[in-house]
Amino acid sequence: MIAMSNLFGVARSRLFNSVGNGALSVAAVTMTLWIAWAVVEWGILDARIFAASDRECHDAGACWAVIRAQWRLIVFGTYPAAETWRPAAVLCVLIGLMSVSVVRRVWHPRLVLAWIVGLLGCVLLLRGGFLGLPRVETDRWSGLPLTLLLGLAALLSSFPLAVLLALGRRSRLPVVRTVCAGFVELTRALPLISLLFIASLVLPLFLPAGLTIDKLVRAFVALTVFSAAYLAEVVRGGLQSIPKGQIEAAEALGLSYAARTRLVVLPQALMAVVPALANTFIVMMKNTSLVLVVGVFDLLAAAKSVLSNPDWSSSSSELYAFVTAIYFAISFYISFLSRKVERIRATWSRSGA
Amino acid sequence: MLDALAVGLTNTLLVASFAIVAATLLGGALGLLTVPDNPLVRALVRVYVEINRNTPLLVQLFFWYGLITLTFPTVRAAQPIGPGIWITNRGVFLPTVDLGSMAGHALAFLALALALFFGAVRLSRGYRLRTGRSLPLALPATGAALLAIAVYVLSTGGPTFALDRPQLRGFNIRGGLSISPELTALLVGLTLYTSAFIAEIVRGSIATVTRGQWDAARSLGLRNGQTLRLVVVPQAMRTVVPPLASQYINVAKNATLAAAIGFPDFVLVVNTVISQTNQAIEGVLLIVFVYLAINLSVAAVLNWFNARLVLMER
Repeated sequence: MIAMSNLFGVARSRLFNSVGNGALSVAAVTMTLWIAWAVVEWGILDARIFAASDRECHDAGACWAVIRAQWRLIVFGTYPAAETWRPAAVLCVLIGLMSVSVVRRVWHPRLVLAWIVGLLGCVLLLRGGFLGLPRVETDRWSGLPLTLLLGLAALLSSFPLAVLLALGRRSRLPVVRTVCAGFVELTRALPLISLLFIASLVLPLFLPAGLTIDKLVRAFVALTVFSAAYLAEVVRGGLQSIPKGQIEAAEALGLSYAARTRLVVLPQALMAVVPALANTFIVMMKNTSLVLVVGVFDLLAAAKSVLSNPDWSSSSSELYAFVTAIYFAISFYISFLSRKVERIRATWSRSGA
Repeated sequence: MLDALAVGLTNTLLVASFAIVAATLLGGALGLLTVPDNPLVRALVRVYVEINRNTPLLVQLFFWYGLITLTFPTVRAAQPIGPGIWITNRGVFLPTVDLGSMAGHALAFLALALALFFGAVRLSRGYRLRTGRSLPLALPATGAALLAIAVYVLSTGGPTFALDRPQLRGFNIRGGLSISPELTALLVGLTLYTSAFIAEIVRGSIATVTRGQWDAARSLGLRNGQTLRLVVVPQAMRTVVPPLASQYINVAKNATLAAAIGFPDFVLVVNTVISQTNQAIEGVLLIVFVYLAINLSVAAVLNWFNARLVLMER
């Protein structure tokens, strides 16, 4: 009943209510159709799924055959082929954890524990060296499981660090305050790539001779430090939004600093900045793609390596479209989760809690 | 060593300043497009923003780089698309203007003409603000400036300048300004990526200007364009500038992704220097100081701008 007449109403009142707006609408429709047609033509109508090399589809649109032929290399990278079930299992565990975390009923402190156990389990499984599993060195870890593992682990470990930094920046002790502020500001001033280079060049200098730390660990440290600094600023924003009365009330109830921070301040502060936290999470997940500059073979590096195969050397658009879709899905997942949390906060404030 | 570092720093600053200007123009235009309550245009801008924001910049840079090197015509097959403008898989080639010996005079004269013109505009605005009457100086000022240019050209025969057009010579295109595929990919990718964020900032800030401001402006008889220019944008600017400042700093930092596609920016150069000299601490300190200096100067400029905007309040 509403549908048709309403559609025309909307079209008249919002699309063609003036000459300028009408022209804008026409331009928008034309452009949408044009882009949509170009994408459909390239990606579906003219696309080839079956081809032995990209030379066979040079006259066609997208050559999705490259994904078909090379998906193992793109997704699992250079992990030993005989052991592919291990990264596959890691992928299942991580995607499983991500899917389960969407369900509100399981939101419980134990979920965090499950994440920690899951991530450690993934690391152990990839590493092997027990129960007859052959040991696989970290420079063979690669592809999507590595991207997810690195990104999620860095986020999970940077969050507590960020909360501590944010609290430290508001501490009454000048030394703590200065150190935390200096750390955050200095880290935020630097590009992530320089931090990754620094981690791989400078960290070894502080270690005793003969002891080297793994490339992957260095990238992990750089990512963790970087996201901790950015998250700390977001958390600090949340802390500033708490009215002084809340803290005074908690003090009046006789709560210690730790207790009032944990029970009164942080829950409100973190809930207040959920959208900004989600933004930073998304940025940090995308940032994991930068680890390829220090030689970590992540999803993007794996996709890029397909281009060095002479059979598929001109399929860059298809490969990057595929990688883009994966990153898009990860980002979409985070913003979905954030909107869900936001809705819950909205019901809180409606019920006056 | 110093030369290499200077080149790296210049490259970083050039890329960052180009991307900042281009992304601000594009992002601002996209943000303004969402002002009319047109669901189609809004949806289109939204799709653009979401695609850009939700995919890593590095993937985008690789994508553009791949597109340029694989699908653009080779130098031998390429045809100039304009006078001296070539787009090939070895980069973009543009003509440059060589002003010759007259360059100094011509530029000084141009500066004088511009100064006169803007002086007149300022004078006219000041008069209108003081007295409420308009002083239509813009047209005479334009006329005067054009007349001055005509007199200058007629009296001196005009500046002699030569156009240096890139031409196909041998196996490559020579002459003019050449922009390598790496730099082209970096400029395009960085501009599009940043413009999405700026479009969101502009859209959000314009949304914070309350409906009442629009209604009040309309009841004063202002047209839509005037309302936007005189009432809404000046107020939105106050909320635009702080997040814009952090976007600009992000551009300077994102310019380091050049390292991944092989364009020698500052961080890549320092990294090379470190691996050749083993002076890691010095190199790292250099990076820290340079980026602190860039961040602080961007922040200082925008703070100054912000202070001016806040003064406009009342």
